[in-house]
Formats: sequence, structure tokens, C-alpha cells
Amino acid sequence: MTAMAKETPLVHPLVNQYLRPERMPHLACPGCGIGQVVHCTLNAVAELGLTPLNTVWVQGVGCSSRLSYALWKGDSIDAHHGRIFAVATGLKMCRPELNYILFTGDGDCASIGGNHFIHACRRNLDVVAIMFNNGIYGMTGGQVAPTTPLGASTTTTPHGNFEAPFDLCKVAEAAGASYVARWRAIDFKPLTNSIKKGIRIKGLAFIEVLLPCATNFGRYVLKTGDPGKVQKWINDRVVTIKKAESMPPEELKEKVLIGEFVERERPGVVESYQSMLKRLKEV
Amino acid sequence: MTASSGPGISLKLEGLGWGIKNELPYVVVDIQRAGPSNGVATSVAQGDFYTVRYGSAGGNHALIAVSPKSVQEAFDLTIECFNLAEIFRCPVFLLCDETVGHTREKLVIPDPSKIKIVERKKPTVPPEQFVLYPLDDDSVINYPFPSVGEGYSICVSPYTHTSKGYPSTEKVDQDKMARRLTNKIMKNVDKLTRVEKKYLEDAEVAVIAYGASARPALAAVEKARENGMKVGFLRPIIVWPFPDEEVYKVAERVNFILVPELNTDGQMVREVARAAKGKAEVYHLGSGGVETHLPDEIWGEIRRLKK
Repeated sequence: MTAMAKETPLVHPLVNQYLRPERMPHLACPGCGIGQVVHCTLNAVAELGLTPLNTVWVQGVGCSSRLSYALWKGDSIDAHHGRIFAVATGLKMCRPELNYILFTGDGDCASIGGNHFIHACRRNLDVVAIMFNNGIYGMTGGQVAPTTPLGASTTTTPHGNFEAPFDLCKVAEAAGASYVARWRAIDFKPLTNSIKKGIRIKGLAFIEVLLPCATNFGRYVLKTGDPGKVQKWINDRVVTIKKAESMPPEELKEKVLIGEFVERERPGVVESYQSMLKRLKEV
Repeated sequence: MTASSGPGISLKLEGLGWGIKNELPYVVVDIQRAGPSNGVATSVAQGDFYTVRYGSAGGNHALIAVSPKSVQEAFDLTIECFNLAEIFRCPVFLLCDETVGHTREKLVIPDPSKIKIVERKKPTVPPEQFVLYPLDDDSVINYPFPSVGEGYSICVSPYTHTSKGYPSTEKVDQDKMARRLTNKIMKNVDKLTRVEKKYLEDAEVAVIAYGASARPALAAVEKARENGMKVGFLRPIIVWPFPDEEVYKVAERVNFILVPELNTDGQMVREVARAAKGKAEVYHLGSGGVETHLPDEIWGEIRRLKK
């Protein structure tokens, strides 16, 4: 692994600038979109002039996190499973001057960490949370997730998933996040722009990324190992918010919307906390 | 710092393992109450003696637990917990119980300048020379720890780590890390022995108790002394790591040891029996909790066993 890393040509200048070359090559399966999201993140970081010194990457547990952990040249904090928002809350409250970019998965964020996620949105924690949604537990072998489509067969639902999936963007919106968007990993430009917006905005920016997982979602749900077919399945399901406006409701039933759902001014928790401290000092 | 009663502690155990593995200083207050599960709310018991020590799944660690018997000690020892957490870079429990937790009694708060505070050590070498986890020296304590945003590129994760904090699945790395997490405490056990001893010089019988149980235990010992019986008293204050040597010294000298504690399964009594190494008989005086033992119950048990 180490010898291979030395021989691998690291062509992209962003890798040398922001990532740890000794952690390459990364662990992603062929066709996985996590590399693309990391690329979009680095573009956003570079365009805004963030540095490893003023930015911390925080991860949870799962593909999302194992693949992005200890890649960033700065501090990399990997929480225990589902507790990414709890750990990030501690970090942000202690060191509010730093930027925090969170990488979590649908299992980590929506299932085991669902409660923390809702409260982080409610508090409007000042971080960017990027949730990789591959619709399944990818790292552990294709178990049903709270985002798995209804009827889909997985290793734990061999007769089809009888539970309806979560719409995490709607949860984030209802709970109070300042910014909510959903894109595919291949929506390079809009995803980069969303991450940039998320870094700038006060409060919580939640960005869901629809991710092709050929290894497990392809294998168990779609019965294919071809990343292209998994991507096509995603492409056939998504509709932009704009296009959806002119579509009849029955056609939208099976569709997943992509675009920016929420962009609002709401004080983040750091601001609320600091204004309380100020008030107490005046008293 | 975090605090809860026993049922809350079971929820926090997941985060405990993360802190142990990453050598993070936590202070956790456990107000033990009558279980299992929610049991009897706001009622005393001592059922978390092993929970705090072994509750984190995966083993391969040691940690520190300190147990107060009074309000004054709860105050003083909480400060001590912070200092120990900084020195040993590990979670430290303040193992209380409902009785100590709810007792109202006189408290002397010292002048802040008189309170000993251990400040976190910061690295003195540049980031490229700094080793985040001293895995090659499993007994080093008071090791510097940088924070986020200080340029040290720290890596913290739930995975077995190398000295840089990178995840590893190699046996050699797992072994090194596991030994470090255990030995940094067990090789420094001499710095972590704190007990209260009374009437042990000529004792033929000993009562060993901790926390709220120690108060009726000491009252019973004093009652025995008034009645001419040579009974001594030992109270572990730092209960984890367990004061093996102190208990052994007592066991060498007495005929039997009585351990009153507020559980029916016998928890600290097992550690006492292990540390006594067969030098004395060890007996448990248990109870499901809700109320502490009365001094007369313990005194009665001493007389019964003496016969």
C-alpha cells in the first residue's frame, strides 16, 4: 500500500495542497462518488481561500467517513457512529472561529444519528454537513437503511423493504437549518457552489448528495455491479425543483427532487450563545 | 464533563470508549441508583462499580474512578478528577451514589489560589516532530495534547490508531495501542492509590466499604471498638484502579473482612477477595439499595461472623 502510494502520480494540485499524499490512494470502490464530492469540497475550499489551519474536517462512521478521514491536511476528527453532530457541536462551541466541514452518511446521519441531526438543525449549528446518500449500508455489506427505497431488496430485506424512506432535506428544513440542498455527486458545479454557500452562511448548511454505490446498492437492489447503471438509475429518478413545478403530481410520485430547498437568515447557535454571554456580562 | 445517574450512564458508555481510545480527558459523574434499568428513581445503590470500569465494549483499557463519601469530598474530588484526567489523558469517573448526591452538609470552599489545578500540557516541538499518541512508551503520563486549530493536524477517530492517529488494522498497532491504554494507568498505580484507614494497627477484623456505605461502616467499626472488639476500617477513595496492595496488607493481618455494599450481586467484594489472595475470609453484606445500611446492621453482621 505504501509503496504503491509513492508510485501513484498525484496529478491534481488540490491533493497536494489540501490532502495528505501519504493517505493516497483512497479506499473508494470503483464507481463510488465520494471522490467527486471530496473534489467539489476542495474546489469550494480553494475558491474561498480556506486553509488547513482554519478548517476542520469532521466525520462519522461508514463509507462517507472512513473515506474522508485523515485525508485533510488540517485537523480531522472522526466521531463515534452517529454522533458526528454531537462531537461537532462540542468543537464549534469551543473553537467557534474555525470552519467545520462534516462528512456523514445516510446510515450515520439518518439512522443512528437521527436525533443528533434534528437537534443540530434546530440549534442551527454553524457547520456545513455533507450527507452522502447511497440508499444502503454500503460499508457493512448492503443492509437496509432509512433511505432505502420502498420495496427494495437488501441483505436484511430479502423480500423487499416494507418501510418508507426518509426525506432528510425535508427533516432539515422543518427542524430549522439555514441552508438545505440536494445534488448528485456528478452535479459538479452546483454542488461546489452549494458547499461554498454553506461555508459562508450563518447556521447549519445541510447538503445531501445522491451517491452511486455499485458494490452494494447495485448488487442487492439493482442486481448490477455496473456503476454506470447505478448512476443511470439515479439520473432517471431525479428531477430539478424547477422542472418539477410544471410536472403533474402523479409523475412526481417516484421522483427525488434536486436543487436548493432552503436559504434563509436565521441566527446560528454560536451567535445566540455569544449574545447571551454578552447580555449576562452587561448585567 | 458530563453527569448522570446510572441509567444515563448506560447511554453515555458509547462515548466513553471513544474517549478512552483517543486518550481524551473526560470527567464523568455517576450518581448510582437502585437498578437494573431505571429501577427505583432517585434512590441509593452501588451497582455501577463494574459498569464504570468495564462498561465500554472492547476491553483493552484501564481507567480511573474516584468515590466520595461526603459533600466536601464530592467538591474536592471533582477537582481532583479534572487533574487526573489531564495527567493520565483518560476518562475519570466520580463514582457517587444518590445518598452522597443528595446529602446537604457543611462545605468549605477554599480560596481559588489554594486549589491545585493541573493545566493541560501543550506541545513544545513543531508539528512535524510531534507524536500525537506516544505508543512506544506505554507508561508515559502528563503527555502534551494539542487542540484543533493549533496547526498540529490532529487525527481523532474510533478506529485503532498509529502514533499519528491514522487508522490501522495491523495486529502490531492494535497490540501497541491496547497496551498503552491499559499500562499508562496500571504501571502508574502507585500514583493512584488513595485510601482512608482507621483502627487497623491491631485489627483482627476489617470492614472495607466505599462511598455512602463507608459512613455506616465506620460507625459500626466504632461501635465494635466501644464494645472491645478489634475491628479496623479501610475505605478505597480511588476505587479504580483498585488498591490491591492496601487490601492485601489488611488481609494479611485480620481473620476476616466484611464488605457492606448496596448491591445483591457482590461487586467490590469480588475485588477485595481477589486482592486478599486467600489471606483472610471475605464476606459480603448486600442489599438491593433504596436505603443505606444502618450501622447496627453492619455491627450485627460483624458479631454474627465472629461467632
